[in-house]
Amino acid sequence: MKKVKPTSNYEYFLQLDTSPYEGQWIAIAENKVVAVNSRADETYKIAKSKYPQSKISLSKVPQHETLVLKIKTK
Amino acid sequence: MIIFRYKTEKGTHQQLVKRPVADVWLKKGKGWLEFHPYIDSGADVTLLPFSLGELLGFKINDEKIEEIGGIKGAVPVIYKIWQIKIGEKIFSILVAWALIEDVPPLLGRADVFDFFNITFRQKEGKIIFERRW
Repeated sequence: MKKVKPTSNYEYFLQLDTSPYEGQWIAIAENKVVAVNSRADETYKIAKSKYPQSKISLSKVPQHETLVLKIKTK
Repeated sequence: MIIFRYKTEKGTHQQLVKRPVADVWLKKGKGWLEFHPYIDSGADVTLLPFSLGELLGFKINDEKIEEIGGIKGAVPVIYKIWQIKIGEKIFSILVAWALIEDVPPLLGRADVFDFFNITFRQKEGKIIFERRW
């Protein structure tokens, strides 16, 4: 069975201490955080303007007290 | 087979908790947006915060605004069918687009858990996604 290798952005996110970014969106490129904002679209826009040729990934850092653990549709 | 891992973060009382995180791509225009949601086997559907939906090109059209329930209470959402790429597999899933920003991005069960057999191995820090065919 073929194994898919994770991206370097994902690996970086896993080991990153995200506590300074609680409640914020972060963009990662080239093994660093390149943009932080309260909105995903703004975060991506800032990151893309700084690193137009790089692969950018987005993550939202949860505020620990607001992390929803279960979503039920009605 | 794709192996995702747990991320160690601070919990409510500053204790360390391990949370399962995926690496997925969501369709964005003609390309894809790499994104790292939390994998939540307790979530019926994948949940995306408002500004992420806007970034992907979601629009509020004539869809019915519904409410889904979470720990914090009701969240207004619009359901969308959207393309996702997990590993090399591209397929469409039902997503709940939250009309508020203050929700975590979650990879829920609808469609995703049908396309893959998913095994959580928390002690080993791994979540294994195996294609069902």
